[in-house]
Amino acid sequence: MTAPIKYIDDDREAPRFRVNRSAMVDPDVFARERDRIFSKVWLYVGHETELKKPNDFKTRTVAGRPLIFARDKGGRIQVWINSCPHRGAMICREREGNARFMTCFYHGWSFNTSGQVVSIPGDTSYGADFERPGLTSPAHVDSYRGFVFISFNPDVEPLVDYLAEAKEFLDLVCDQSEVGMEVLEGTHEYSVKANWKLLVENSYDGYHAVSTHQRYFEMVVASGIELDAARLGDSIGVDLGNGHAASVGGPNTGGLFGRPLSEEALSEKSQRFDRFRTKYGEAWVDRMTGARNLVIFPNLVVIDLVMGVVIRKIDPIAPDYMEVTAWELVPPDEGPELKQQRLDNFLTFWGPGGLASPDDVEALETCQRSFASYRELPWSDVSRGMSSPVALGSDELQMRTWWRRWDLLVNGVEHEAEPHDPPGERFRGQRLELEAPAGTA
Amino acid sequence: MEFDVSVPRIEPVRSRAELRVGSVPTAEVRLFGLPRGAALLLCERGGLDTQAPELMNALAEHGYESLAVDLAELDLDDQGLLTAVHGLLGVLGEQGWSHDQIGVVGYGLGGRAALVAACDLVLGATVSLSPRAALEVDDPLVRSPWLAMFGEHDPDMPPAAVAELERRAAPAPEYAHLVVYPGVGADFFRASAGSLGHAAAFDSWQRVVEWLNIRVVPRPSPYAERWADRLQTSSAG
Ligand code: FES
Ligand SMILES: [Fe+2]
Repeated sequence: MTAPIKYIDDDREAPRFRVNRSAMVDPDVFARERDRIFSKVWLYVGHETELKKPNDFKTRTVAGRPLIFARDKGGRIQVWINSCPHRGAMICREREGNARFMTCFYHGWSFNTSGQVVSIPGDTSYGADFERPGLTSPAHVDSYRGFVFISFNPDVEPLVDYLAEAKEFLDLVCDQSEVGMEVLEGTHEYSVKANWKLLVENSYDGYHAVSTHQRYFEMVVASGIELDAARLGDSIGVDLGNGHAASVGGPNTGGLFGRPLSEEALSEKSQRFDRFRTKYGEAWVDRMTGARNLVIFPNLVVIDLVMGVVIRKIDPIAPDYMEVTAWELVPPDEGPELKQQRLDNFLTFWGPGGLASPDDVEALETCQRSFASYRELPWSDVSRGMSSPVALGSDELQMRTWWRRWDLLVNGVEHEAEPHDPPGERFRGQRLELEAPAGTA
Repeated sequence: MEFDVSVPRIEPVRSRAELRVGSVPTAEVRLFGLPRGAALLLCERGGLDTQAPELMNALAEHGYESLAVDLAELDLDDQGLLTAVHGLLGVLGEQGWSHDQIGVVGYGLGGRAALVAACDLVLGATVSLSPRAALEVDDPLVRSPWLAMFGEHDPDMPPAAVAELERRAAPAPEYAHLVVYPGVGADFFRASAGSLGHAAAFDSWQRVVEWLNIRVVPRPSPYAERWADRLQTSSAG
């Protein structure tokens, strides 16, 4: 009998943290992830503001399951499995739209957005007492400040508990609008020939920015921004519980990565933030002005570089292939100048045509190609910052936090959390208002 | 839209409706069996003779009974149009059709009436084709889903005006969708030999039917009614 494979080498003595690369290529690992992660935890499906009107819908895939994400006639958010209870055909084959009724094209059964079957062609053949099956929903659907999650696990813990300290980081993003943050129309969609976990790692990897995105930073410098190394380095890595983690910049690091704002936009922005200061208090707003890269376990990324908030959902398709969907979350109450510069910065950095995302894709795809040699070179090293009292944003605490959770769920191996000093005051300021934010589920 | 000769043709029954705003000529198509829904067709001027028979037959193919009317004979303001629509919905109501089982489809002045109705009433679906002076309707805050279609060369509604109307309809509680057909005028919905005209006529009719099919509440079959009753008693009990 062969010993079970060790996927994570978490050596606190050395200290050293390594990930076995077979985790990125092995179809059995992939199947276990489907079962033990994606069928068990909360998963992001979409944002409430994507569905503006009653009967608006979007079709999406989450954990391989085709879903209908809809607002019903009464305005409630609903999530349905996109499969006909009759004999299985996909009920809705549009990507998005507005419809009170969806008719299955196979035999013509028709359903409303509340999931009830409303007509069955030739229904007399079923007899008068036939139990008419409606649409099926995932075991749980819940939302936190507009972010809608589902779980296929009937016994999953409540969403607010699952989110743990990540809630606070969603609050820091959501508080940036007085009327509620809103997802813009249109999405970025791209695929990467690499294991999905590599993009999770990359999404809060502060270490790679300067080397991988050299071209981007040259452009930023050429546009007149002085890249202050001290401020760039002003960031920490934090473990938020349940596998969630973030790299978090100090005050005023959020705008560092974009082209400079115009005078007009700068003044509008400072006025907006002055209002926030009165409302939420200095300490909280200082935190709001920092950059943050957040990953909510397993596959939801929220990156807030203030110049633009990206929501990214990473979908594993095969061990060496993932699909990525990204949306931009904005404060709709911004003026046209600020909005224009935000959009411009966003598109320059992110997305399949941005100056940064393609670099990341290239980096991850070369990793995956080289993992063909995972037997000869089995380990990747993720130790950076393990021995530091405070983990920096450019360290690898975030990834280790994620991997430890992964090892627990997929392989049943428990790891202690990594001991570090608590982050400084600047990273802990709380919002003045004590009542729960609007929209809390 | 062209009429398919292989389908039997129904001759609409002509009559008049006595409304509070006056007497108007009507045409009616009733269906046997279990019709899917009802359509209220608000024709363009003179349309009861020219456009109604074709449209009513095409609606019947999709299971819709229809009541067509020409409101142009009366000189009505928006309030008058609304009163007229109320009266006509009452006629359909007497035949057992509830508001959410009715789609209102209007052309020209009728398109304006459909918009006014969409703002005031909760109906299954509403459609306006080249609605007359739609920009002058106060606030197009529709309470019924509203589809509006225009021709690019309609002097009454150039594309910029359509965009303005769309912007004003955005805060509405219900879904509104506006379409502009390129290279055609306000009569884009009439069959024409030119390729753009043909495409606009074909596509716009397709949209009317789809708009109704995914929104108008189907009349339940006796068994469906029984099922709904069972659901209600089980949720009440
Ligand atoms: S599979 Fe949907 S109606 Fe038969
Ligand atoms: Fe990157």
